[in-house]
Amino acid sequence: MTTEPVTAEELRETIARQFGRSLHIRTLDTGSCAVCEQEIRLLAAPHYDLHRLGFFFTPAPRHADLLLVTGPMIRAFEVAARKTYDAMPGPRVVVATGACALGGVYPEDPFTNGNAGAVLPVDVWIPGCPPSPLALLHGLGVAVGRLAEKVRDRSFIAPLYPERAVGDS
Amino acid sequence: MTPLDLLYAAGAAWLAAALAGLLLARTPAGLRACCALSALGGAAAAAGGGWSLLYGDTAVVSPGGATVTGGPLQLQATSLAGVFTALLGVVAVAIACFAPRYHEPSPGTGWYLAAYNVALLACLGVLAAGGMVTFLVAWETMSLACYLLILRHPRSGESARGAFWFLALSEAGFLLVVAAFVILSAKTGATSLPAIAARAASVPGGWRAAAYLLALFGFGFKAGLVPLHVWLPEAHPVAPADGSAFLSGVVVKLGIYGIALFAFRLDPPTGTWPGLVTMGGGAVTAAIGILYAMAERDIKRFLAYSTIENAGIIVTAFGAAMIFHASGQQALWTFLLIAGIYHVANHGCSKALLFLEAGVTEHATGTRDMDRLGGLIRRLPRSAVIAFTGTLGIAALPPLNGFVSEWLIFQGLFQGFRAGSHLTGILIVLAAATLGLTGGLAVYAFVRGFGIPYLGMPRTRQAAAASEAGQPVIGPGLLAVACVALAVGAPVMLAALSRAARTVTGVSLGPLLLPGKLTVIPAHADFSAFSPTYLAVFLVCALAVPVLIYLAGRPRARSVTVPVWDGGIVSFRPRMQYSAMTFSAPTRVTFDALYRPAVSVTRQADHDPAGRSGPVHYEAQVTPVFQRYLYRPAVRALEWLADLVRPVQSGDVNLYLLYVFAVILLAYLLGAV
Repeated sequence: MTTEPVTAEELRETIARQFGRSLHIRTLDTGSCAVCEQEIRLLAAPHYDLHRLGFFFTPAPRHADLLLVTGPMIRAFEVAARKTYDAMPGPRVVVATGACALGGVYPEDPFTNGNAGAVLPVDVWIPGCPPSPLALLHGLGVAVGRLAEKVRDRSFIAPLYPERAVGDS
Repeated sequence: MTPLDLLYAAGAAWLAAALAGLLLARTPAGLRACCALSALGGAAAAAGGGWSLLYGDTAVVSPGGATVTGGPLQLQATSLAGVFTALLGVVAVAIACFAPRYHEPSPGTGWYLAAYNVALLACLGVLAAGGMVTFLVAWETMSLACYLLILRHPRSGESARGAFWFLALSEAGFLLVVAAFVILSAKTGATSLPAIAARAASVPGGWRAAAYLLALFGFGFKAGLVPLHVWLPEAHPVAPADGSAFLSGVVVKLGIYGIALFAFRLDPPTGTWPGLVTMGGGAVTAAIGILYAMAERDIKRFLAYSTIENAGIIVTAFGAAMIFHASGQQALWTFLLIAGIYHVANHGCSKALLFLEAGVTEHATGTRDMDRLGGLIRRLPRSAVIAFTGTLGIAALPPLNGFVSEWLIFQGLFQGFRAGSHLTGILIVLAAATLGLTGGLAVYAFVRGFGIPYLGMPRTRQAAAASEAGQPVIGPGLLAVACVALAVGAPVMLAALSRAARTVTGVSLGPLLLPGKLTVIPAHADFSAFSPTYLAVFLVCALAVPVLIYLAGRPRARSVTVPVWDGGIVSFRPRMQYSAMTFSAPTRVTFDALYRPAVSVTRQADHDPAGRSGPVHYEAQVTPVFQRYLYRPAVRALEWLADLVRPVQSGDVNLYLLYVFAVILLAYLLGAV
């Protein structure tokens, strides 16, 4: 059943075919120590150059296809994480990045959820503290495969949370 | 039968409506009866005005040999006045549909409606005047009746102040208008308008220019030319909504009618400079009007400044037309007259609509402050649609009416290179550039003027509780239909207007302006062409494309509704939205030199003994430059002069008897000599 693109060419091919040559990533820092972010930033450096594959970063969740979550999902950030996910159009995919987001560093306590999966439907987990850029690239490749599956299944439409009246009422 | 007969009927209906208002407006049924009579008059005036566009000028008649204050009552329905008369009629009908739901039945309403209907009658008198005395008497009656209708709530100081500004500036303007008419009448030896127009060519150029300038400034007080405009933002907010709609939609337009009457019909001045003065004044008025509009939070003051802007645009067109006339470009002369008058009709409908909607907003929420409104599109959906139509029209966005006439004015101004001398050509294009700046700012201002009250979240509890039940819809709706008709039916309108313009300028633009197939050509075939009707059809079709895509895709995909993306904050509050003042901040900062804002910042911390930081209170106010630096010194000078004369009036009876004796003695002595 696996349809993961494995080589860079396949990855580029999938992104070009299914996402019009541009797949946009929104990063979400849910209490990370910022080392994961440093590694993510390295992805854009010439050595890895994820733009050549068709990945781009966006600040607006409305434009994003992929949510890249770092940190142990502190409780103070829960609402923002949910709102960000809800604001993304389908098909969308959530990638939890680093040991904290995977639940390997902080236990659940009154201040943290301990892992990203407690709040968001995580599709791909990338381990490592921090994960190396190559591990991140591999994880993104897996996520693209998952996204392509969602497009095929047409299973991306239902929102995670029902609509809440926010502010205006 | 002539169009004048319809105007008689309109006048009679309005007179009856005034009496009905005075006697019957204490009951709801009486109020409705009064408004029905008023609507009847409006319909007759609209029909009469429209007909006189096609009919041409009627003869001057004096019904029954009647006289007004010594002069003969002379009436005439002219083509030039026809547009204004039709506009008066349409606005009157819309207001008559609006008023019964807006006003409470009470004696005060009765007085108000009586003053309003007399004002309608007086406006009709101004437009149908065939002689100087009739014109002046009607003009003064209109001013006084408008003063009374602004003074709907005479006990409020603000109301009295606004009404007084109106009256004072109206009277100052009236003196200049009288002087202009007296010069023309004395030099031509005629009192009827057609006779003055026929003999004006024999008057020396200096006198004609003097008469024209007096008329420009005199009527400029009514039309709202900067710096004679100060009554508009003072009087509009205190008048009832329908009164403001009438003031902006009709009374200001009569000032423009006066200018057109002198510039095109009675006394077309010779030489280029009167045109340059007119065009420059118009361009400055347009720019300053819209810049001040950007700094206003009160919807009605904002709309009043926008009226000043539009009056400026129209007067700029007239000024450029006069320049073209002086340099022998008769086709462009006629074309810009047509474009200017077309803009009069467009702005009259859109602005009356927006003032009526401002009244609806005020009734539904209890405030006119944009920063206390918001989200009205959900609570007043029908009003929002109507107001949006008017906003598109007034912001000159295609495909609505304001766009068509502003486009025509621009096309006329861009042909400034035909004006003969390079300098005048450059000045005309400079005026076009100023209008370009104005047009851009107008879009910005009306995005704010519609977006802040109608879109977003309600900023106060009153705005959240607004309800459309019982709010008038038909009146403003009628004007919205008129706005759309003026845009889509532009070729028909232009054909009628070119017949009207021909009666004044003698140049027939008909086939050149409208070469068939709903296309409009601005005076010269080698310049540009455009079809307002096709543009409207195209834009509506273009809007249909996303709708069709949505409908085609709906069976295959489900649409998902999620909240607005707010950056992920826990609670998105109305106070976090753009306010009217922050939205206009870029303009206010850029044009700081004009606004001279007086900013005061008070920190709680300054008064707190423990030095804790607390709320910070920020207040910014625009300095009323014209009131402070122009009118205040003028009033002081007047008071100083009055003080000089005061010793003569001691109040002592013996002294007055001495005066009487001295005068009699003087008369005898003079008689003896």
